[in-house]
Amino acid sequence: MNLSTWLPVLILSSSLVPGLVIFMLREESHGLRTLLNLAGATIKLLLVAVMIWGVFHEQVYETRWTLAPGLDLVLHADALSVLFVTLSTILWLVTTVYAIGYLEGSPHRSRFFGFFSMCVTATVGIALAGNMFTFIIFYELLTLATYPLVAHKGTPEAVRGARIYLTYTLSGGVLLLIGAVWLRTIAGPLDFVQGGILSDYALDPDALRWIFVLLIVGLGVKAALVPLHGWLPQAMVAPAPVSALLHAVAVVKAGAFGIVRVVYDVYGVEYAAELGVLTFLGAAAAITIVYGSVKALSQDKLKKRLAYSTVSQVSYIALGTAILGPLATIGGVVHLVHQGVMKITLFFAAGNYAENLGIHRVSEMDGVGRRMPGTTLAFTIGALGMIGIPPIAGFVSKWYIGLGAVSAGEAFWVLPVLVASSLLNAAYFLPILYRAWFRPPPDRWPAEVPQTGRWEISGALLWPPVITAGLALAAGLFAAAPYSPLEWAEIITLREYRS
Amino acid sequence: MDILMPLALMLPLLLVVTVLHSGSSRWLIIAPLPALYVSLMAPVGSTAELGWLMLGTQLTMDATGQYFLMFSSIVWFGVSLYFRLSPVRPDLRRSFAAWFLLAMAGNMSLILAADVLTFYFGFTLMGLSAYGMLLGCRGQRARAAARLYLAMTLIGEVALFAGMVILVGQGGAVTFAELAVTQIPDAAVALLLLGFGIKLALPCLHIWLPPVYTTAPIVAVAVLSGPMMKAGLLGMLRFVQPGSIGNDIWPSGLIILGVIGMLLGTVVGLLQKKPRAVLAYSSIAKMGLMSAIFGVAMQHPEFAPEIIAALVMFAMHHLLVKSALFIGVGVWERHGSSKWLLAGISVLALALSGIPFSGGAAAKSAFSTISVVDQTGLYTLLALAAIGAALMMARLLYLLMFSEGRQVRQVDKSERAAIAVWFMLVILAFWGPFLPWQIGIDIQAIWPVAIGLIIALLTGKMAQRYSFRLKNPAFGDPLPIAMRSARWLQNIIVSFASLFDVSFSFDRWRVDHLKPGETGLDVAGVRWLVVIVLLLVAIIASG
Repeated sequence: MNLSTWLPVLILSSSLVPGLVIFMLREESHGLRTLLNLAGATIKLLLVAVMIWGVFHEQVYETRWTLAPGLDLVLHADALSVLFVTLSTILWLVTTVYAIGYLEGSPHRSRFFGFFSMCVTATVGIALAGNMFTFIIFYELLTLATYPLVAHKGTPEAVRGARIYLTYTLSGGVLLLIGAVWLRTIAGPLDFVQGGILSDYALDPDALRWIFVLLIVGLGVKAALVPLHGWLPQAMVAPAPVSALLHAVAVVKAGAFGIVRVVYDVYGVEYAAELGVLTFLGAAAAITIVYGSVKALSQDKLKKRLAYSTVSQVSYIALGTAILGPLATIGGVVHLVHQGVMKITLFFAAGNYAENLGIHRVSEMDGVGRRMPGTTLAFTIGALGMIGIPPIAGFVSKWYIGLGAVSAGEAFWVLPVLVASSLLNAAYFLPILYRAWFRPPPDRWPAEVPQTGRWEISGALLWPPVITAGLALAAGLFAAAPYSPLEWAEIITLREYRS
Repeated sequence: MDILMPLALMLPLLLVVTVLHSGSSRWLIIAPLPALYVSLMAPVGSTAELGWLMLGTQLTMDATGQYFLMFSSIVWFGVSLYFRLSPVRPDLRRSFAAWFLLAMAGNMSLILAADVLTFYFGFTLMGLSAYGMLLGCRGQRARAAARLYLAMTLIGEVALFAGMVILVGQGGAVTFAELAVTQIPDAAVALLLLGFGIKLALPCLHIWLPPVYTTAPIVAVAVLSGPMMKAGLLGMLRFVQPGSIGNDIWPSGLIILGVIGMLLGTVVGLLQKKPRAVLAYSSIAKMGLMSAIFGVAMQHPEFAPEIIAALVMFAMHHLLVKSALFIGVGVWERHGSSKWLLAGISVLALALSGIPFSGGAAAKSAFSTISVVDQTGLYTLLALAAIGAALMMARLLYLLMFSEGRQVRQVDKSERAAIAVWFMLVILAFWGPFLPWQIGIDIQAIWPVAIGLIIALLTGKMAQRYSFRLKNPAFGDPLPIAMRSARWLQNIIVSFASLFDVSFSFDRWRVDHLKPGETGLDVAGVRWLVVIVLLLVAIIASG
């Protein structure tokens, strides 16, 4: 046994083990729990750094257990998994810090952090899954691990939101399972392979089309493709750190990641285009992008507006995936990261407003920039990035998807979608920024926590959004620099189209 | 120049931090100095490459860029000096200075940009930061104007973005040097003209300009009407290079639009009652003229380099004069009219109308050496524009002299320095972009000015005699129309959104629409699951 077989397992256990231990901790052992959380996150970060280096140099990391003949549990690291693993590891560390600050003094913290770690374990498992079977196991594990997090507050509203979430995702899981089983019966056990594998088999194209629809609809529930997005705005009853993780890394992103996997590493994007199924995916993504933005316009609750914004923005990934050609692939894949860092910033900030001033609605945000400048600056960077203002990360994604659409020649319709989405994003984000920076603050806030420390809010809540906003800015500002998300997306694309 | 060229755009950005941190705008005035230094000292053709920045940033300074950089940074420098010395409400100073610096950084970036993305970055930064400057003035009207500006600017941004995507996606060119030899698709031309037309205030796209110029802080208007508006022209010159357009409809369309803008701008401008509004419409007229000249250049690619070289000089002259004029009007708004102020403004007015021995006349005479000019009617156009300009300047001086009800404040010691800065700008603008000894005296140029003045005097006498007065003080104000159409658009979007709710009835199946007690299969997404499974069963059974 050497590192190349053990590294994926180690990365998984770095959050699994602390999580299991945390479950057993007493509620009061705050120090130990924090230590475990942070130690786990840091160790994972170091292990991932090793993996990045290795995959960059085309090392193979693979762990394989044969459960039954033809049924393998495979963990495998390729460039795409490393991208997603890195994103979730970095954001997990930041979110853990944030959650520790956010939940200070509230009940059931052992339960919370236990499931929090499970959630990250499942996400990393999804990223590293080497075949459809492994993918589905972690995908369902993620559903189960996030349910208690959404319901964490225990209020009737929270329980209801969590139940809706569960209903949607489990039914989606069923469809995914049906699709995967069908595929397995006609094609055998398939490992994910860069460039796809199905074109090598002589299979019934009609069956493959239906399987594609099943898989995409199944994954589309988590990825919040319209009309399967209904759970997402309901799930915003969850505590802010959970929403942040849900929208940026874990659930929604897992769905989008699954779509990318199916298109590139199961079907192969060229074969999928040949089958004509990409049009279906592209249309669903385009409808979702416009619909989510239009719905976001009319939401007064900040978290709900952000939720509809997620519906819209995550579909950029699916849109990039649905266009044949390397440029669009780069745009879609890089948005996996870009949307994550931008959206997590927005949710951190929303959490800070709620926690510190009792602000839940956009209409209450007048002058909040003067009271909480650091948080609002982070929010501003996230929002401008979503609109696609250079040099923030979102612009890079938009640029590549647009270029891909135009140079593919057949996807010219994508350009109006991007234009409409940019304008709509501006229409629902800029009024918030206007209120926050330019309107005079009210005499008193809805529920203000008096400022005690040096900063506008405790450091554990202030620094996470500031750091992620910095990452969102850096990802765009240094997009051409080595090891940027863009460069990594280019590596992935190169390897996808090489075969 | 490897360090200085990036510094020209970085220094304003860095100073934003100090301004926000210390709250003092003391360092504002050094922000444009690296750019000025580069424009004076760097050889034409200098480049700098920052491969790691954004998607790979390339900077260069060609001959056109040098003129834009030099005179833009002079105006930025003069205006920041004026801003520094003149009294501004202290609570405004900090945030205004920050926006001012951001807009400056954007302006410098787009001038030095060698590739489309850097240009777009600068253009966006400049356009959006200007919105922050507009908010310096309170009041309903000012805010509505700022919102209109922002909406139009955003439309311009996305149009430019889409145009760029088509350009790069189909042509493959990222740098302007490559663009020169690329054929531009029609869709891209249309989008680029829309994007830059908004900044240039071509007719119909001009609606943001009069409300903004009449309400915004004067310092903001000075840079908006000068360096920032000319950035739209630079954009056209950069992206739409002569010979790269296949379809003849674009040059002709641009000429027609430009001439309409010139004529309407002049007529409407003459009917204004506020000095700022006269200047606003005069800007629309002048930019219309410049767009038309650019259209002519596109129609005659073989003469384009000469026409564009003359056009750049013409634009630079206007850049200097217009900024100085607006600052002069700002001084008038504070202190009322006095002899020295009217003298300064008269100098500018004469230069703008192109009196002999001024920079305006010299820029115009550069056109007359181009042989194609006679066939195109360009010279007639220039003469007409000069008459119009003279008339409008007469109107401006009349308004400055006789407008009443203005609260007049004494010039105190600290303001004297600011006004001295303005006079420096006036002198510079009169001959700019030339040096006095470069200008030959072209006595022919006196005619349009003289005709304009005679018409102005006659009309003035007649108006006095028959006591003819303008009834509607806000003639041609596009703000109410714009607000009405904005409300109309909003209604459309809202009804569009509600349409969505009906057609996607899945939304109605969510649990919050259900009565208590309804659970189980009724919950949420299970219905669509059933639908899809049934669908599948049907398909499998039929197959």
